[in-house]
Amino acid sequence: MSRQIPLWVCFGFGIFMLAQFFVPHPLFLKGYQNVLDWMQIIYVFALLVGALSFLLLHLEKISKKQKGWGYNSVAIVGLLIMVFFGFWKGIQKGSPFLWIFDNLQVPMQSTMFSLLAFFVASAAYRGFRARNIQATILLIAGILVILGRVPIGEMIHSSIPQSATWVLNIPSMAARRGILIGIGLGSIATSLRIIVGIERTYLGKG
Amino acid sequence: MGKPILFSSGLGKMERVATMASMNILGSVAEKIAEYNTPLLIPNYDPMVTTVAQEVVKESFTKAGHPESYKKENIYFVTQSQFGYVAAVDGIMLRERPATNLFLGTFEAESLILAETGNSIGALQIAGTDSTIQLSFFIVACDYTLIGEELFAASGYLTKDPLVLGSIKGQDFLKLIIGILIIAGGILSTFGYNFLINFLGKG
Repeated sequence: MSRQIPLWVCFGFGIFMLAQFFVPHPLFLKGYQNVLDWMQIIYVFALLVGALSFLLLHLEKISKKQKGWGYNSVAIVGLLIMVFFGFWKGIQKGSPFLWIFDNLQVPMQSTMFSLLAFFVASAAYRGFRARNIQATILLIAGILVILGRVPIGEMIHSSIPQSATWVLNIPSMAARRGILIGIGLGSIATSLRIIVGIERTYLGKG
Repeated sequence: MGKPILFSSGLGKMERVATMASMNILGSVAEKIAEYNTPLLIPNYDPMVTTVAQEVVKESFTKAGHPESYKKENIYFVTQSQFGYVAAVDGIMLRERPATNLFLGTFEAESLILAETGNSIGALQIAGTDSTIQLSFFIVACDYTLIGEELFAASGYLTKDPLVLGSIKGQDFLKLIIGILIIAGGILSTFGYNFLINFLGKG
């Protein structure tokens, strides 16, 4: 029974969400809106469970004095400080919550994001090495597109920007559309397998 | 030997098909990992995915005959901040030095940061996503990449379930039909017959 009920719930809601896309009746639209509202409600409770498990996990590591437990303490202090200021002074402009967010969280996120520039360089170096014919074609196409996107490309030869656009619009777009068709079909097939209960690993019931 | 395996389903929530496919693959992967009694680390971006991953891994370890090896504390919720998640997973990789990294699911700008960090520690990396932009990053930084639909088909190939394999076969036939229609439409349109394009192009 514990296996059958979730499968029937999944089937019912899956069929409903599929049908409402094609049936513009107000009843279906209302039902769709209700499902979206319920998703938000369930999500908030899941977030609470997540925050609780986060707290318990880090507290356990601190209590056992596991390697790097100092970092766990920072994580818990950070969480508690944000919750405290959020409830005490709110999250509006000028609040301590937003000040901490803007001056700690945002710069740290930007720092992580900026790492991407260096990783792109190292990945491009590995990817563009002319080890075989395919890699050489990739290297030539890469150089062409890079040069075609900067002013120096046009200064070298006027046809370079057009060639770069051709590479992006014709061969690259053809490959991307081929992959997109596969993804679309794969998504439909996977969704159908889940709705009809063929694929049920996600339930954890085998 | 004995090094952990890291699994990340990326930034996707449970309603995304790529996350569902990721969880399906996780089931087979966890079963294999349980046989070798290797630690499996799953840091998550979404609390709901965390709960599902815990259930999937628990079931797989039980199925493999090693329920005692299942460690709930190794599958945990990290944060809902995109780059906070990247920082956490990068930190785990550098501290725990996993032998294998599996990045299967929905990935955005963080894909290359994760894959390059994994590459720098010498881990064997398998990635798969439905994002065409991130695929190029995974291809250069990972050892094996599941391109687009392969992510959805992988769970079927791993489980060998005839029903799932049948639906993948159906998917391939549909792709063949679409390919034939594209070629036929191109040829007909070249000779000025647009009826097929007009028929299929009706939105």
